[in-house]
Amino acid sequence: MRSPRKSIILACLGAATGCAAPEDASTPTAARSATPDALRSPEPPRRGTVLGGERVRRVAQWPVDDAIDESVVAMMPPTERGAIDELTLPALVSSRPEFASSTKVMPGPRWYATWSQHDGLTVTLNASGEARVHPHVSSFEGNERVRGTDAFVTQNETIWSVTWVENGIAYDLGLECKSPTMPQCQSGAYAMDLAEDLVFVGPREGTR
Amino acid sequence: MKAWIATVVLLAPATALAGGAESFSYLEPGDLTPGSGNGAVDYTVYAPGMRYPMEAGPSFPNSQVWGHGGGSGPGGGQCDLENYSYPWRDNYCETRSWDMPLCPSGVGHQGQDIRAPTCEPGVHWHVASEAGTVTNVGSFSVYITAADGTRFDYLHGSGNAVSSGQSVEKGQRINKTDNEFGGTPTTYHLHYNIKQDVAGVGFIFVSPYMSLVESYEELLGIGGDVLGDASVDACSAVVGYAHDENEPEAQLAVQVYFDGGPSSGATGVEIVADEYREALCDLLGSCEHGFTLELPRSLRDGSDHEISLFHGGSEDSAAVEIETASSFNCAPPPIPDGEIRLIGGPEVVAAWGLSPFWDASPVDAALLASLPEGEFFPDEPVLVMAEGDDTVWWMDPGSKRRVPSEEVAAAWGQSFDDVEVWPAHVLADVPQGPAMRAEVFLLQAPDGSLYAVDEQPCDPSGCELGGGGTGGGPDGGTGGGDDDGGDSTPTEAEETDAALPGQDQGDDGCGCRSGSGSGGFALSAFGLIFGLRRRRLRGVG
Repeated sequence: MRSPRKSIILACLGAATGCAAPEDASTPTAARSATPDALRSPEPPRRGTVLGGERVRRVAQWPVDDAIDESVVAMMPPTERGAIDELTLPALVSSRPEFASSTKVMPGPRWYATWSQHDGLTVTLNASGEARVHPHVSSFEGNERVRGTDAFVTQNETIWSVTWVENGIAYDLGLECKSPTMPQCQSGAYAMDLAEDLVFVGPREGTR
Repeated sequence: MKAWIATVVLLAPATALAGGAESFSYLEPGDLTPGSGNGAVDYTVYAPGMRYPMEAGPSFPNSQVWGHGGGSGPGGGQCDLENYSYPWRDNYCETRSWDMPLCPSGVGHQGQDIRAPTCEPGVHWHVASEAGTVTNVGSFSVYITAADGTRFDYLHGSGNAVSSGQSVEKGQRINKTDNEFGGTPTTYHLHYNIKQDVAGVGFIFVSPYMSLVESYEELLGIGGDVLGDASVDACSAVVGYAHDENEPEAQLAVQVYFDGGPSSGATGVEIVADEYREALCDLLGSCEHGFTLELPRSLRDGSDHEISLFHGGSEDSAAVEIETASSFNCAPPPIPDGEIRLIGGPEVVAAWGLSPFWDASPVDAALLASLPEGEFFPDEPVLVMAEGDDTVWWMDPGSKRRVPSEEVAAAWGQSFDDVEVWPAHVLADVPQGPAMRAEVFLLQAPDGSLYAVDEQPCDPSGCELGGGGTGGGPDGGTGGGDDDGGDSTPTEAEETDAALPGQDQGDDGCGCRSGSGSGGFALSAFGLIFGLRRRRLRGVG
């Protein structure tokens, strides 16, 4: 959408300086140049601030197919087994039968999430294959060790989360208790145990 | 107490009664209720273009705990009108015991508490901030994950209208403001989180405050009467101008979006239109409204791209499109000579302060395979100087490389303020490699892998004195041109001719040998310093 006034300005810029308003202000900017000379700068171009952070792909380091835990795959609902093959990132699923059997798999373009619920516990997993780089954030050490690497474990409104990077991908496990007084949510230990119990379930090399 | 004021007449008198306010205003990010902790002064809009999570305004983000009716509040009930009035108040990082790396104190509240138009449970709808997938419906939580992976969390609501796995549209109803908290009621409010994969930290809670400000202004329809234009000039810059007729002297922050807009998940760049243009003086009655934005190398890929110009969003108005798209198609720039070095991932990008958007040229797999490949690019930068010498060196594993100037350091995301001082004898014995390149040139493979184009390491055959260690090699070559299987002890001649820090050996700067007879010791010390260095902790700047 271009206003008549804008058309005047663009036409004038295209004709360089000293331009008077065109006779017909509603005339489209047919004469508009791609880059009016009048807008060129003698100064070198500047870099602006990338809004919302710069997106940088995480390149997955794929475990071998032999690492797939077939017993856990077998525990998953059949529909969800198929969903694994749609994922673009290495998929981890809880090896605990009560969670594996209720796992729902939700694929995204460069992420996936899983969700399961059992006995008042809701377990979520987010995996991300695209990071945001913010100039004001550099690097932090984790506050715990999980799955052999640094992890960041915290609580939010009694919901625990465990965050780490594995296979080149950022993973985040969440644990929500139906009641904040449930013993599993009294510390981060249970959530970290859940993270330790995740296993690789695919997708297989031929499907990714 | 400074407040940003936007003069907005609310369109809904019935709801305005609850708020008792006629104009929207907000306190700056990080300005928490006094005594409630250290806020994060973070103006980043982490989710540009998102929909405000309440279906209708007015709405009042502020503290629950430190507000009326809260455990640390001034008394009174939660429905006190002061809780339902402007200005907004940030409560991200408000005092909690929860670890939070982006909070100044390292702990704090991870999201923003938001009150609905009125103090009534189960009435006011929460809506999806972006189109996406419902990735969780818990006992008192709902998560929506957008296509770009950003997760929006809605806590304490009731009457869920969605289920896990369901797709939702932006603005679709989710649930209603309530006090659900697993059987232990809280105040009537929405606890709202934004969680993103942040390089260097992982999938964490980021400040939602300025994203809420921007989206609320969009909801209320705040915007200016702005004129502007943008186009690509000679495949090197985006040039344009922006001007607000209501504030003719104002130098506007404009947002240049590539291949979409804020609502489409496209990449946008903000720049202030403050450059003098003679041509604008007569036309606009004011001259300093031009801008010249570098054309990102990542978009010089031989494909068609579009530019759209927006204004507002981050400070005083919602993002509104000024100018619809113009297009460009620019060929990739030539790749400089050198070798390519794989960058280990977003954490390395963040640690260095590199920018693939500005500096990475897309390449296909065949071209990439044809380029000589060196060692991994270091995970983190280490700039050092010797005691008593102001020459700055980049410690590339295996060699030291002169940093020609602070500008060169800045190009690589580094500052001379961060230079470490090392013992002179340790640094003197580190082999010298080529100087740090003045230009950052990255390559991006089709699978997203990133490479830095760097100098090839020094060639041992170029050494004047046979048998000397070359240094600078990817294997950390520290000594011993070992045709004869010799050891790494420097010869007497080598000692005599040794390059010392600060003694320039030309721009390439390849030093072939260590500087003293104690090379073995010194290099061990070098390795020790490297090995024992703790990973630096750098937070929100």
